[in-house]
Order: sequence, then structure tokens, then C-alpha cells
Amino acid sequence: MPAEPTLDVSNLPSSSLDAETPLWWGNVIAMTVETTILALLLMCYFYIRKNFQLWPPPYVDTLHPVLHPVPKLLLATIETGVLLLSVIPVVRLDRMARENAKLSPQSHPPAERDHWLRESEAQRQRVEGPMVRGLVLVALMAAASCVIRWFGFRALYFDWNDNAYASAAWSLLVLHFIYLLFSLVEVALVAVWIGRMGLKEKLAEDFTLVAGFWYWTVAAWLIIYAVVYWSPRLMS
Amino acid sequence: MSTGRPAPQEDRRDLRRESAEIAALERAWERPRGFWGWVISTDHKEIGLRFIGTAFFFFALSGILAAFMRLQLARPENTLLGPDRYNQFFTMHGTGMMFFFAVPVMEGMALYLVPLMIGTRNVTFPRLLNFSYWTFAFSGLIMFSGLLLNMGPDVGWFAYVPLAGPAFAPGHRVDLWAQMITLVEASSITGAVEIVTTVFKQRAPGMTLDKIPLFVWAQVITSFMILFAMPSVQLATSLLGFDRTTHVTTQFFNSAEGGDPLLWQHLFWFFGHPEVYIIFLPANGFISAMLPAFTRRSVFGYPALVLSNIATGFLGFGVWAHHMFMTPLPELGQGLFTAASLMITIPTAISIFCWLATIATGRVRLTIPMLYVLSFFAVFIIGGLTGVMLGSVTIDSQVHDTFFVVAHLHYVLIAGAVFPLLGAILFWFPKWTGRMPSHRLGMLSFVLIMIGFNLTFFPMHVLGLHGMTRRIYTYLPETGWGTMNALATMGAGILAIGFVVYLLNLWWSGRRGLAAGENPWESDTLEWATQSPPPRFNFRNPPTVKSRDPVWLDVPGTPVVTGLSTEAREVLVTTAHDANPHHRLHLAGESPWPFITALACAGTQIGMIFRPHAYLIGLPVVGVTLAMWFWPSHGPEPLVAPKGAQREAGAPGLST
Repeated sequence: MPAEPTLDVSNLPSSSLDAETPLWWGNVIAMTVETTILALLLMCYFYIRKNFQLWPPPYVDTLHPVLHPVPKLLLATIETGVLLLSVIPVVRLDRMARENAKLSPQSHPPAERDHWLRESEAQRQRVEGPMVRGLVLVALMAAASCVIRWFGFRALYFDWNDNAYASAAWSLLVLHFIYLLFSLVEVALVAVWIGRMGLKEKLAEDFTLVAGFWYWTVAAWLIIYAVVYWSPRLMS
Repeated sequence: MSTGRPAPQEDRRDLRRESAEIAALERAWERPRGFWGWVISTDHKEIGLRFIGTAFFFFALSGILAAFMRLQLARPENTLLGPDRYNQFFTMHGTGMMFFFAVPVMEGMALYLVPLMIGTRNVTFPRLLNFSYWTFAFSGLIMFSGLLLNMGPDVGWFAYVPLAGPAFAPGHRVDLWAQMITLVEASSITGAVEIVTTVFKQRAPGMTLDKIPLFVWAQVITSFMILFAMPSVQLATSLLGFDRTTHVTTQFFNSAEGGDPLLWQHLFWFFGHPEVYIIFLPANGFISAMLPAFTRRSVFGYPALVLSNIATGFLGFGVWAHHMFMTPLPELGQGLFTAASLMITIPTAISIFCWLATIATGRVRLTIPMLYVLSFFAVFIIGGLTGVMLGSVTIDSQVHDTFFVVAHLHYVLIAGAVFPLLGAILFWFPKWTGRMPSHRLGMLSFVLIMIGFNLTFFPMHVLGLHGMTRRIYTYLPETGWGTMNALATMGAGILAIGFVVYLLNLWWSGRRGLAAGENPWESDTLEWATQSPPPRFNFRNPPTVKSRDPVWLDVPGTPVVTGLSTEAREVLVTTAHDANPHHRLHLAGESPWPFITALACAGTQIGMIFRPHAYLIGLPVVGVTLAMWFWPSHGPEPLVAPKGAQREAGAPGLST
């Protein structure tokens, strides 16, 4: 059997970040699918609108009917503030994770490799504490916005099954509520994992994806907030 | 990156090292034994074949339902099936064929073949693959079991509201349909995620975008379509479920409360028409993959074919409203969708002319798979032409909801997708089993299927033009439809016998067929550069690529990849555009949690058929199973090249 020429890849690193990694692609595709669902649900909201002469329809099942029951702004606006603020710690954590995920011992000459590895290990142990604390902070902010959302559902006047307007508005809020819970659990799990196992390069890489999904969740909320709370005010 | 040739005297030592290497790879990639190991398998070849097998099981079930429908319609005023059972049968026939056969079988083909064709060892997310299969299997089994429980959905495969709404469809038949469609689309979407990431990140070094095999291109475009189309039907079925469920009863489709039945049609067909191309494009890929083997030349017009597939992918999303010409769409909208529907024939025509040019300038070998390809041209074009007729509003208004449409869609879908699929299965059968299919049985089934198919569906054109509407369970003798219907039923009988002979061929050849060797058809893509059936790790040394026909033009003399771990399941990640080697990726091993997650999802959806509270219990349970699935439990990551490193292939603690 004649020997074949070879392409030796044993010196390539064993991890990477962002668009170079399949996980990043998986994460982006998942967000694409969720964006499609969200966009279609927004389409439903506006499609149904043509069936109503007044939007939102007057709220009459009460002693004090409301002719133009636009959702109340207070709680949702506070929530928007919390979510926007949460981006700051997430960006910082994202940066920390990135600095500690970039491990490619192969790029260092063998003589320096051990020293370099020890250095980066020590560095990672130093940021573990701040990292976990930051994650707990983000999880608390996420939990806070979940609680605010729970009470914020009342701002809609209607129950979800009162009419098609209410169904669409509720669905947008509930769908995003599920994203928020999902993000909360993700952040909490990464905190637990880093706390228990240390900041391994794999966990650091994972967090960059969690951060990506967090940005997406906040961006999705801004759109939903604008549509559910502001569009009936500005476009009626 | 080093290239080197050892001197001849080192040959023996090389051989010893080679067999040690193969043994190590076998250990690293072997899945746990026994039934449980089978359940949690993450091997793309095993899961791919399982997708295909399960899809054909649902194909057989849906086919049997169709046979009953044909028997019922064979003569006027027949009483074999009552109207209620007939409704359940045609609904489950369409649902089964579209959701549980056509899409999964094409994904199964992709999952088996794509990693081999791009020269990698497994898909990127092996556990997601396992999840994808089980959600598909569970949703299909639960959906079909509805028929046994007198809970078979009975509102047609597109379940129009208000007929499918709570007011006109009491009971749980439509709930079963809605929840299981939501579930099966989760399987399709995860399958599509696998294909896209694997193709963009794990191609053999050198396989730049313009060297990706046409089959892989077709599957990538299909997967992108799935990612944008399936969410639409998932959303639609979820909203329908909410509208119907006690305690929730949203009003999305209830016109009395400002909802809109047409909203359902928009959401459904925004999925439903791309669905046609999701089924048709993989079949395009089969043809492009088979032609080189049987015309002895590479396919003519590679860029034109890729671009026309991409164009089809985009245009496919712009034609959905042609299913809604009978609804009060604005006239401008009707014009627009007519134009788009006619325009989509252009890329299809380009593809067909490229293939015809390939055949005209090649040396054709008339094997059975090639006969299926040729039959595609003859029969599919009939369906395509009736499609052009239906794309025009004026004709559509006349034949809407008649058997003319039934004839059209069967000509398009069976000739456009099932014929190439039947050819493709025989084409890759040697790769899967190591044995050649029988030519004689293959010819017999081909002839029977062709006669049976045309005899069944051609008369339906005439029936439709004579005014026979679809979905009626019987008709009066005075209509004069009896003869044509009797002919169609005879055709269905012949078609069924043809399929039985086809299966017989697979069964017999799998046992007694001639040994196939690596590349029995002397074809050009990388799956033919490894053993038949391929080992679990696909390639001892993954290949690199220099041309579009690597097996014909590259081997020997093209470098192979070395330096991937033989002790762990490692694949080479390459850059998305140029496929330059970038890093080594350690793939996840078997875990029971994807299976348990699929079980939890299925349980939640079953609960949702009856009570909305199922989500309150189901979502946390699914959340826990997902957390366990992703729980990182393997030891510290290796920081240096893993040669000789002692690492488990799977994730200890998770895999059994």
C-alpha cells in the first residue's frame, strides 16, 4: 500500500470562539428560528388589527368602561430599564469569558508552554469569583424582570381570551416570558457550573453563547415593548 | 502541515501502526452495546437509516389508507368506508405522507450522506441527532395511533379553520393533529440545524463553496428553507391548539371576536408551499448525484444548478397565496402571486436543461436508478405543466378543489420526489449494505410502479375537469365518473404491487445481493471513497479535496488528514468559506438525556391534547432534562495535542 501524503492537524487548537465554532452556528440558527416565530407572531398581531374599528377595542366588561384601553406603561417600562441595565454586566462577563477562552498552547514554543499554561490557569482562578458574582447579578436581574412581567400582564386590561387583540398581545408577552425564563436558567446554570468546576475554557466558550442569546432576548423585548405598549398609542 | 512519504522498508511497521490505529478508532467510535445503546445512538449513519426506515413505515401506513380510499371510490355509492372514516383516512394519508414521510425521509438521506460526502466523521451535534429522531418517531406513532382510538384527525391535512376550530370540530381529533405537528416540526428543525452547521464547519480541507457536491448544496438550501418555513406551521398549530383548548380558548381564528380564519391559511401556506420545495430540492440533489455515475461525466452547469436551487429556495417563499386564490385576496396580490408562481418555473427549467445537457453529452448507462431519473423527466414535467395551469387565477378558479388538483400534486410530488428517491435508495443501497440490488426485481418493480402510477393518477385529471371534487367519500352513478375511478383503483393496485416488489428487492438483495465493494457505480463523490458499509468513524484518515469530482480526479495523490485523535471522537473544523483547517473539535458522546428529553416533549404534547396545564408541568420537566443533557461532566479539557491522552470517548457519568 503506497503511503499517502498527509495533512497533519495535530498542532491545531482544540477550541475556538464565535463564527469559527459549530456551537456558535447552532446558537445563531436557534436564534434565527426564534426570530422567525416572533416575526410571524408580530405579523399576526398586525393582521388581526384590520378586523377592529378601534384598536385596542374598548374595554366594556366593567363598571368603568375604557374607550381606548392602551396597555399601561409603568411596569413594562421599569422592566425595559432592568433588561437594558442587565446588558452592562453581561457585556463585562462576555469580555472576561473571551479573555479566558482563548487558549491555544500550540501558539507558544514548547519551552514556554508550561509556564504559559500555569500563568493562564492562575489568571482564570482570579476571575472565577468575579465571574460567578456577575452571573448571579444577571440572574437576579432576569428574575426581577420575570416578576415584573408576571404583574405586568394585568396592564393589558383584557384576559387573553377576551378577543383576538388580547390573544395576540398576551401571546407576544408570554412567548417572551418563556425566552426570559430560558435565559435565566441558562445564566444560573453557567454560574453553578463555574462555581463547581472552575472557569474551564469550554464553560467560557459556552458563556459567550449564553451572552449572545441574552442580547437577543433584550432586543426581542425592545421590539415587543414597542409594539404592544407604544404602537397602539402612536398608530391609533 | 507536513507531507512525507516513508521509505519502503518501513511498510511493515506502517501496517502494524495502521491496524492499531483502526482498532483505537473503533473503540473510540463504538456505541454502547445492546438495546439501550441502540436507543441512545448518535451515529449519523445509523440514525439516518433509521429515519429512512421509520419514514417508509409511515409511508406504508399512509399508502394503505390511500388504498382503502381508492377501493371506496372504485364504484359509485360504495359503502366500504363511511364518510367519517373516509375523512379520517384522507386526512391521515396527507398528513402522514407530507409530515411523516416526505420531509423525514429526505432528512434521513441527508443525515446519512452529507457527512460522508463532505469527508467528516459525524454531524456536529450528535446528541441533537438522537433527539431529532426520537421526536419524529414518537410524534408519528402517536399521530397514527389516533386512528385506532377513533381519534384520527378528520379535517384535511391543512386543517382549515373554522372547520378545524373548536366550534365545528369538537372532541380531540384536531388537538391530536395540532400537537403532533408541532412536535414533528421540532424534529425537522433540529435535523436542519445539523445539516447547516455540519456543512459549513466540517467540510474536508479544500472543499471550498464551489466544490461542495450538488447533493449537499441541495440539502443545505432545503435546510435553510426548513429553518424559515417550519416555525410558521409550528406557530399556526400552537395557536390552533390554544384556540381549541379549554381554559385557554384564545381567539386567533374566531371571526366573532376579531380573529381571522384567513390568518390560518396564510400561516399554513407560508409553510406549506416552501414544503413542496423542501421535498423537491433534495430530489434535485439525488438526480445531480446519480447522473455523473450513469453518464460518465460531471454534471453540466454546476454554478447554474446551484444558483437555480438557491433561487427556488427564495421564490418558494413568495408563492404561498396561490393556494388561496379562492379567498378574497386583493387583486394586486393575486397578480403578484400568479407572477411569482410562474416565475419559479424558470430555475426549475434551468435545472432540467442542465441535466438534459449532461445526459445528451454523456455516455448513458441504463441502470435502474437511471431509469428512475429518466422517468422523473417524463412524468414530473406533466405535473409541472399542470402546475403552470393552476398558477393562473382563471384556471384555478375552475378546477379548485377538484381531482385535477389531486392529480397535479401527485404528479409533482411522486414523480418529482418519490421517483428520484426510489432511484436514490437503490443507488446508495450498496453503500449502506455492501450488497448490490437485484437488476431483475428492480426492473419489475420499476415497470409496475410506472404503469400503476400513471393509471392511478392520470384519470384524475379528467375526473377533475368533469367536476369531481376532492374529499368526497362517494358519488352517484349518474355522474359518469365510475369508469375513470375504477381505472384509477386498478392502477393503485398495480402501484401497490410495484412497491411490494421494490421492498422485496431490498430485503432479498440485503441478504443475497452481490458484494458491492467501495464504489460499484464508479461514482465521483467522497462517500464512495470509504468501505461499504462505512465504519463508524467513516474514514480512517479524513480526505482533503482538490476538485468537484474528488474520487475521479483527486485520488491518489491528494493528502489525507492525520493528527486527529484516535482515542476520542474528534473531528476537524474548517473555515466556512474556504474550508481551511481551523481547529479540532471533540464531539459529544452518547447520553440518555436526548432520548429522555424527546420523551418529555412527547409527554407534554400528549398532555396538551387534553389540558393546557400540561405546559405548566411539561416545560419545567423539559427544562430539567435539557439541563442534564448539557451538564458538563467530563474532566479537564486537554490543553495540548491529545495524542496518547487517556480520555473517554463519551462523557462519563452521562453515557452508560
